[in-house]
Order: sequence, then C-alpha cells, then structure tokens
Amino acid sequence: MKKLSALIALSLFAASSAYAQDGGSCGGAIPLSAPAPGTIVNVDTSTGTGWINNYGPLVSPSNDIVYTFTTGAAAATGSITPTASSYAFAIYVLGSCTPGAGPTPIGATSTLNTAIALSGITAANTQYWVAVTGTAAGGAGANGTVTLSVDPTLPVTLQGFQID
Amino acid sequence: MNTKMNVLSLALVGLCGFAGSAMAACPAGPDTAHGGAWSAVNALGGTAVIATPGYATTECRLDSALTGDASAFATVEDDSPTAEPSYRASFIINADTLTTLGAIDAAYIFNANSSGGPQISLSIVGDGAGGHLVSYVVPDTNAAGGSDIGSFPLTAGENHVEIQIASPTFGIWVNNNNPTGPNATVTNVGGATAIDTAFLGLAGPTPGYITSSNGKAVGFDQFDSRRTTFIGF
Repeated sequence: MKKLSALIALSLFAASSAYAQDGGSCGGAIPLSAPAPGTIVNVDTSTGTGWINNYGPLVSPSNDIVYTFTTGAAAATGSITPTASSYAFAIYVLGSCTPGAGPTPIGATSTLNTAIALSGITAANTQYWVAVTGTAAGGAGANGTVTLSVDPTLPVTLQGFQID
Repeated sequence: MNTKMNVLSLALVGLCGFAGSAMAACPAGPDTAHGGAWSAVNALGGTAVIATPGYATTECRLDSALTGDASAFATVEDDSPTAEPSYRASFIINADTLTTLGAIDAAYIFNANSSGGPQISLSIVGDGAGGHLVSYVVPDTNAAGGSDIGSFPLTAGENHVEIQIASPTFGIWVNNNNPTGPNATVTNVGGATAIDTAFLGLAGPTPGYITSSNGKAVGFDQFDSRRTTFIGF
C-alpha cells in the first residue's frame, strides 16, 4: 500500500512537472493555441525566471517567458504585435529553444505596435518559439507586463495538453 | 605566448620603413599571407579589411562590415594561443558608424575559444537611445543556464576593451585602466577554459543588425593578447 501511494504521488509529481506550461522552460513553453480573431495574449514576466541568458549575441539579463506554435501545411502569414507594456521589453521569434544559451532570433521587436511579421521567416510544419523578455540595456530588473496581439491567420497546432 | 598584433599599429611603420606614408605602412590584408600578423581572415557575407588611419595615433586599423544574414561573419583569427590556461586580450573598437543600432540589434565582436568551443563571447548591441553596449557571455557552471552575462556602455569614438580568463576567474575592463578594478568579475568560470583561438570582428548578427547596419564598417585596432600581464592603455 505504501509503495502504491508513493507510486501514485510520484506519478502525479512527474505529470505536473512534465506538463507545467508556464513558459519557464522549453518543454513548458506555453502553446499559442488556435487564436480567435483579435486574440490578445497578456504576459507578465515578473512571474517568471531568467532561464535563457542570451539569444545569440543578445544577452538577456531579465526574466523569460516562452510561448510556442507549430505551423501547418503552409508557413505562417500572421504577425505578433506588442500593443502595451510596462517595461523595456523584447519579443523574439526563435527557430529553436535552448535553456541558457539561446539561439539568435529570426524575428524581433522591442517597439510598441511594431509587429513581427511571420511571413518570410517561418516555414510549413515547423515548431517555433516566441520569447518575451527584456533588453540588455534594461538590465536584470526589466520585467513586467506585455500585451501581445496575435494575428488570427497564425496557423498553429496544439502542442500539449493537461488533464487536471 | 605574448602576441601583440601590431599589424594595426605604428610598429609596422618602422618595420616597413614607410613612416612618411600611411598607406604604404599598412599591409595589403590583415593576415600573414598579405603582410599582416593575423593567422587568417574569415569573411562570408562581409569583409574584414585594412583601413586608414588607425586609432590611438596608429596608421592602420581593421574594418569589419557585414552584408549578409545571421550567418555572416567578417573576422580575423589568431591561432597563436596554445591551450592557454591564462589569457588576456585587449583591443580598441569604434562603432560610431552604427547610428541606428536598436536595443534588439546585435552582433558578436570577439570570441576566445578553447578546444571545447567558445569560452568568451563579446557582442555589441544598441542601448535603445542611440548608444551602444558591449556584452559578455562566459561559462559558469554554478550559474542558472550555465553562463554569466553582463553589459557595459561604450562611448562615442574609440573604446578600450580588455578581458582576462584564468579559470575559475573572468574579468572585463571597458575604458578602464585600473588593473585591480575590472568592471565585472566572474569567479566560477567552468568548463574547458584553455584558450586556443581568438576571433576579432563582426559575426553572427541578428536580423535587426543587418536591417539597420548593413555594410557599415566597425573599426578595430591595437589588439594585444598575453598570458597574464594587464595590458591597459
């Protein structure tokens, strides 16, 4: 009985860890699941941790919250636009995800209402990541809220699910 | 090892005997095959060439410019280090041409590699207000993510940057001539830190760097590397 309880407890813990989609790890990247028209994603990096130290030549001293999407039969033609923020944010579109030493972004913006156009930088049937973080100039304290407007033409598929 | 890359300095004037002619004092190219002192020039989607005048009263400098994409590089390579457990390097950088570099626009400017890969990476990035920062990444086995990072502002014109790695310590000096007071120190540098190769010049830009600064030359001069002694300026 003790063994069974322990096994159940271990299984619950493992399931919780494996599917924790809080944007605090590559495996825990939050799916940008099929957005409705005008989908708004509210991000608060102050609840996260700094787990990606650099995106290629761009150092990232502040916290990182990472989302993910996978294109369908065609490349994405939508866009991701920051429309409001409480700090000096940076939004990066990544072709891979690595904790610590991250890849050089394939798209980026740090300006409100300046979109990252996904056309031309994405391919079909490929997974991408979107990191919400801060700039080198902002330093470690550059954390806060960002509102993202995700273009509804972004073709995505569900990356994972959780049964609570 | 005590390599002083005088290819970009006045010392070459004396060697060549062309003190009265700045152009003649400069080699045809940065590498030894063209009269320079560097082991090799590596350029794909960019150029790494000798230009005049140099900085700090020297005759010649290195101009590095990128014209490609994120895989572009335009560097000179120093193979004279041989698994150096203690390594210092210093150089001047002038990035005044990068007038529109944004806070998310960056490129590498220096790498010191061991047999295990990059150990010290320096990059230049915009500060979002028209200025520039130099950033460093060094391995740190005790740090989250396995590395330590930091950034320091560059001034307009010539900037002196010096780094030192002697496991387990890393230090960086930016326009700082105090041997005992680096701008930052990392005390838990781990991994294979013995330096074998150094690269100076622009490489690995972000898409925004290419968009904002395509073809703009960043100047380098007065590269010097040693085992231990503070180089300064």
